[in-house]
Amino acid sequence: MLGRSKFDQLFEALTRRIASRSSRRSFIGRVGLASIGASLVPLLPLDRRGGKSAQAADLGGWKPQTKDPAACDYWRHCSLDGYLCLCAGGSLTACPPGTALSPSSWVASCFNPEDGQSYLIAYRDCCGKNIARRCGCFNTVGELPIYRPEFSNDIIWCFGAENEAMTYHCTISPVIGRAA
Amino acid sequence: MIPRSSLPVSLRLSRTLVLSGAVTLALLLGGTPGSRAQHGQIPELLRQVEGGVAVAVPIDDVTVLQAPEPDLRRVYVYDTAAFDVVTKIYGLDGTTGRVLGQIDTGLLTNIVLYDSGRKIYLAETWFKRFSQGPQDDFIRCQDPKTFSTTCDFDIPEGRFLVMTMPQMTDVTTDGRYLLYFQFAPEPGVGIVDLAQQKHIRTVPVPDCYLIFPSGPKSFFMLCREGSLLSVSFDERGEAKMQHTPVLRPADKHFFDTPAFSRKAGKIFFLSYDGDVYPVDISGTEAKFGTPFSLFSEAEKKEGWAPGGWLPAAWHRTSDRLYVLVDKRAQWTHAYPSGHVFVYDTTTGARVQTIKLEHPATSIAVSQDPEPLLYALQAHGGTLEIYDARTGAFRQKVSELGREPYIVLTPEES
Repeated sequence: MLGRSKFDQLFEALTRRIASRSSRRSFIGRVGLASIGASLVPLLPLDRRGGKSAQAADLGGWKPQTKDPAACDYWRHCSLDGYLCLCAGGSLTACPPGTALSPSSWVASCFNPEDGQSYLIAYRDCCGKNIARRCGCFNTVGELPIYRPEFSNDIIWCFGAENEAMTYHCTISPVIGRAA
Repeated sequence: MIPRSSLPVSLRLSRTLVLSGAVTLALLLGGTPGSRAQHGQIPELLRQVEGGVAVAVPIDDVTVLQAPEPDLRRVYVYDTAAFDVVTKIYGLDGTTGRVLGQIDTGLLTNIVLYDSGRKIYLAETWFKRFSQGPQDDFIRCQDPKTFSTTCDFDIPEGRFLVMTMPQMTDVTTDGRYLLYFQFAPEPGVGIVDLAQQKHIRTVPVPDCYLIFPSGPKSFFMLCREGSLLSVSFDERGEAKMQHTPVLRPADKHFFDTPAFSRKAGKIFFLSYDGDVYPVDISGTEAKFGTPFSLFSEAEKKEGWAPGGWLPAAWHRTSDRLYVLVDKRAQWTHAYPSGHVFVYDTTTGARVQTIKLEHPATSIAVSQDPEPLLYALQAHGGTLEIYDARTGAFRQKVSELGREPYIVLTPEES
């Protein structure tokens, strides 16, 4: 028998439950909630190296700003790899018309240089249309490999969206709390 | 618009002359099929159109080309175009840099090359109405000479839609089974019998990812807690699994895209901070090699670290590992790098450094005895080609799509 971590068992239990009776929406929603609420928050990588200048991330590292949410270096977008819904008919926290808000998310801890605090952002994809291709950002603060999918921004996080819309359009950056 | 079929045969043969305005004049002058020119001759009618000026261009034959037999310098560039639902693969001759053909693909396709590139498999996802409607997952085979589809069959929906990582899909060492990763509704590996063109079963797996074929009916995966998972299966898809000891230290993270040779059964995992973890899966059990660092401690302090989407490539017969590296801040591990450092994997020694003409996102090497290094710029759509042994720049190929992230070369089976 394979040795399994608690998260493995949780993950497997949830997946088997969904396989037997419920929708993908509830499966991923539960995994997401369980992940955020239980074992994962203490493991969040914190980036407290917030710089003063506002510029897009490059090899010099992440330097967040707080003035322009439509720019890629806006502090909330620290691990957003995709397109800003703000530039595609949505907002920082709302999807554009005609898209489906996914209930699943990946998380990151982003530093707000204005108040010196780090916040948990649960990025949500807006799904069901082709890519917005406006305000494309490629930020990777705290991004972890695929064996830690809850911190991976390379996944199309459209699991559980209405009509099982698995196409990616854009991403919103809602705050869900203070980082530990 | 003049229907093409209504043109005299002589005019249909020469597109250049059609474009020069000869169509209208020729029709007025009454060209007929009876005035058809022989290949290589210039019809009298067209001499008149050219106003008496001597015309030395012979009548053209038109056809559809085939690419040559694939060799080990064939290289494929996949333009994922971010997460666009319509994507494409360019096939190139690495020796000349010539684009040989194009394969049209859908959302986040996985490409598998087998048998020195003579076989190409695509794991695909498409939707009924462009980006909407029921999802359809399927497998296609492509002919490397005609760039056309030679098989097309269905698999259950559930292929993992993640920015293309080559080891999310692969074939077993004998080429019989295609294996693909499924993330939801539960993690699993789909087993497809390529001979019967049929999905056999999706095997549930624990919290493990990536697929490294190790035999005709076996593969390894990389798991959350740092071990590998050894999986063997039978022709009905019944699987046995066992974890290896932990490979990845708890304080390290591995890139999702290690260098892997199916033929050699070797994986070179790469950590974000620049350590290499070799694993030999050519036998029934995984053998962990001695890890080595890409950098000295002083270099690490200077910020040297690997980075890119496909940051590592291994040349099998010379045992050389090519790695994209640069001085970088933390959390820039996915950004392009300006250098390729080369290591002898038998000793871990750095044997060569190559400064790229432009920073690259992904690299690959050809597996011939005189290998080429391919360096792809995702955000420029340009492939640079170098002599891998000397580092000498040979040429660049531009306009390879919008955001090509993947560059793949075949190996012998």
